[in-house]
Amino acid sequence: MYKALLYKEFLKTRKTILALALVSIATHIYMYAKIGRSMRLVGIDHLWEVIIGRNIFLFGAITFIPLVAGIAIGLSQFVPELRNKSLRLSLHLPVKESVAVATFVGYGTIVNVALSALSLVSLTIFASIYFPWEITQRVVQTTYPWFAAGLCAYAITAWICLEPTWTRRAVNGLIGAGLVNLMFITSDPGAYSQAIGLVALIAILPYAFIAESTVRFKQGVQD
Amino acid sequence: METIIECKNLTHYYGARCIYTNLNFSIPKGKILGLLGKNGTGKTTLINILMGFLKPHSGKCTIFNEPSHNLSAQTKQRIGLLLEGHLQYSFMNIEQLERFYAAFYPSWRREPFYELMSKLKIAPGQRVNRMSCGQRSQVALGLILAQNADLLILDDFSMGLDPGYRRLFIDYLNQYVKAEGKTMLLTSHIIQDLENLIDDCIVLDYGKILTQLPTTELLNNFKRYRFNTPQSIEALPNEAFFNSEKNKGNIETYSFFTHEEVKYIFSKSGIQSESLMVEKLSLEDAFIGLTGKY
Repeated sequence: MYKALLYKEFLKTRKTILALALVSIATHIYMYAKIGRSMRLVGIDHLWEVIIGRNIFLFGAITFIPLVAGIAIGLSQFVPELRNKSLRLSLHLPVKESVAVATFVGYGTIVNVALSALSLVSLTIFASIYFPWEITQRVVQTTYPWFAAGLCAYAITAWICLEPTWTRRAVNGLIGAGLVNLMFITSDPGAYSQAIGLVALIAILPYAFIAESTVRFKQGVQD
Repeated sequence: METIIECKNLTHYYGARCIYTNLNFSIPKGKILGLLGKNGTGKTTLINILMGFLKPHSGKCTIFNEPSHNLSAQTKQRIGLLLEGHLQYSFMNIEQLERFYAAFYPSWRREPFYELMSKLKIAPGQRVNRMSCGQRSQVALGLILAQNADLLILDDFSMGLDPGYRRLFIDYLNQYVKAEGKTMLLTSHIIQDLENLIDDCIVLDYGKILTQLPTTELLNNFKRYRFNTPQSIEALPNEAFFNSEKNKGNIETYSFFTHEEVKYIFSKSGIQSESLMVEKLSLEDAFIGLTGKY
């Protein structure tokens, strides 16, 4: 049964996942090519100096990719369920409703984490080849809130989509925008290094609200 | 006889608008119940309440003795549901739908599904969102047949279908339900389709049940009366007649009373009705007689 539920989610999201993976790969290649060109033109020593001395971050091209991925995966998963309230079909399946919704959200979360992990692994490998450990560490610390924003945006998208009333959707959207914005307050490298726990908490906070919207959908709450 | 669906004192409002108050009915095992009513009388609302997609204001509904808002997975396995508009996952094709649903139902039968699909020349790779309304209806029907459910709940199954598809749908349902002793609750806007299908019918009006009878009893006892009289329509006693209309001296009215009883009522009320004619009704005429034309 769970395999079938995951299969359904895969059918809805496969094209989006492929498109996001291609965009992500292309952005990483472009970013690495650009850094490589700078290395050849000005030399790696100068690049190190720029990174450390002027606090410049070279991997900014991926800033909003996890965010876009989170929203896109959420939309591709839940918009088809909104058409004519197709979610009723899923909630009528002989599986406990909370388990079915948890499986859908779990699938989306795993896809988001997988895309983020690939990006993070690629960044770490690239940075560790050309830069000292401290800079590599700074790369991870700087990009971490962006990946967290992606996860947060995914959960918020699910929360908004599963909510049955437009008024509450608008409120959820505003809360969501506020939460996501917290991850982009500053673009200074390593600015969030002292708030790793708080960033993680903000990222997972909207997950707590999804169940309530599902219950409201089930009860047929209207505007 | 085992009761499959039971609603007790069901009351529901949309805002201040009352949909029903104290609605009571039950469906015994093996019966086919048609839920008839004009637009907005709450047929789909009732199905949504029964399937737990809507919380009623008050009252209680049970399906297989479980509260409808909290059905167990095992009970859901026994219910085949057709949502209004033959709703299905539009992003899936025939093969994917069959594979997906088969995983949830232990007594899944893929043969009737593919038999119906090949009869309608629907290719296994054809996606639901590229199908006509008629094709979608048959896909939904095929899935319900394959599920081999004990209870079928069909919401407005004839919506958007041409006569051929409607007939096909009804033939399949009739054969399936009667041969295998299934229970069914269905609604349709096309009343004539239900005449040879349903055992019992509930006619809903705004806020209440107008009548709840076996279909044969309704068709045998509910009659249309026509007569010519110079008297006003107000002379007819309200409690005995439904939706009386007068047009150029001719009165048309409906009643559960027999010809003899009507003649007696008229004579007691001083209504001149020498030309009194009685007519047997089709289900659609009976529905109009009970609910009115407008």
